Amino acid sequence: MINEVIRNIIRFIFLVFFQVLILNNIQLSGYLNPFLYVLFILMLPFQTPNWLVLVLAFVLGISIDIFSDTGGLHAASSMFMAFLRQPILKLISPRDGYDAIQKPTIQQFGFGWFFSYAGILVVIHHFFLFYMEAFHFTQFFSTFLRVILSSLFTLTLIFISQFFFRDPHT
Amino acid sequence: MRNLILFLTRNYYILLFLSLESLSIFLIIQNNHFQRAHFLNSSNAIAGNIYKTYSGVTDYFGLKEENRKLSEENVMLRNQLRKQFSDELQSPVVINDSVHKQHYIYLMAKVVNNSTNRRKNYLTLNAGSKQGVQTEMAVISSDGIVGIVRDVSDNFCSVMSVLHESTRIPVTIKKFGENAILTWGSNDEWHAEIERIPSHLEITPGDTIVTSSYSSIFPEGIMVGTIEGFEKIAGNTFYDVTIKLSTDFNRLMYVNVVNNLMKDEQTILEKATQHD
Repeated sequence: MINEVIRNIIRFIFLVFFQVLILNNIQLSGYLNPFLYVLFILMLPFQTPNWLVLVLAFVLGISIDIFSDTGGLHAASSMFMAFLRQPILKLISPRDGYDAIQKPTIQQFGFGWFFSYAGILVVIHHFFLFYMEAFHFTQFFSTFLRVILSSLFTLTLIFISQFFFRDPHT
Repeated sequence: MRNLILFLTRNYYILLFLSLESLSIFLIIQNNHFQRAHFLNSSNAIAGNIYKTYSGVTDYFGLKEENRKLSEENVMLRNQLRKQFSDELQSPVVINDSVHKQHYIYLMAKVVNNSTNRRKNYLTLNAGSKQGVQTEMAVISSDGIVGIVRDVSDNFCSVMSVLHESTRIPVTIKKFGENAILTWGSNDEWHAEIERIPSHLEITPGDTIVTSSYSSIFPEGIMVGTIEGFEKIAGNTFYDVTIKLSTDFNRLMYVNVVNNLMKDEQTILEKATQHD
């Protein structure tokens, strides 16, 4: 349990720094902005209390905001995503539900489950983020293109990262 | 009241979400209005420090390129200095429209070989006759004088360092304008000697020594070093002066080769006069 907490803290710090120091400098043709830091919310264990997920998402988002001068943009988006994490988990739960010991990883639930879990939440997050950033619907389709392309980029990074954040037990 | 508490406990999740979400959105809007919210931007001390450290590390990757650029810029700026032009108006006939005529041209070169521990020290630069270097040109760095070009090949030149036992460069004490001669007595690479400073001058340690206008090789006023110590020998009218060289010969990297465009004219004239 303690081990799990420490691992999550390290993951938090690593993802925030990776995001602000490296990924924020990647802007391919203005459409591709990967936001890998949402991986932290995706990988929180199932038994994390709901309110804690929300608070952690807020702290995560506000950390990114502090570094990128965006007010509360990332906080709002990751909060929104964290809020919908529980309903999405229910929606795509396997037939026999989740075990308290299990973690939402590709190793334990397979590629298909993880793809829909991460895919839905990442698209929700990016959708909220980019439309909040634009703050109007006048350029609906160009914003939409940014959402789709950036989500694909983030998802690719998430899948790659799955092989680095592997659990030692499994 | 009880109902209110019940309502709060039952719906704490959605209430927490709504309150934090509204806080975030409030922050976004505030950030849009006042571009710099007071404490949540990167001028914030922690974020600022981390960014500073980060750029401190990444700056090193561009250091080589940056040095080259600065060196090129120095050459360009030196070529524009007013000191490098002598007034054409002094000559009896004005040949063309321009008021100033170029006197010195600076070329950039990199030190590719260097010695400091012998009695006769030489440097090799990566510039030669193809780059416009000829013998008897002065070599200076941004800190001070370096030496005089001795031999030139197509792409390299060999420079007699100031750290050479036959060095004799006319210098002057900036404060008094008194002319003297720089020599090097092969003691170490940080110090040199100056001959012929009359003992009536009240020199003090720290006085600046620069090249004098008597030199046909070095431009006037190039930094040489500062006086470190002096001694008056009984029965002698000159001081024995030791100076600290301003150039660090162990760390030379980029240097400038100085071409005195009017040197030939001057030496031919002087020779003609001497033959009289």
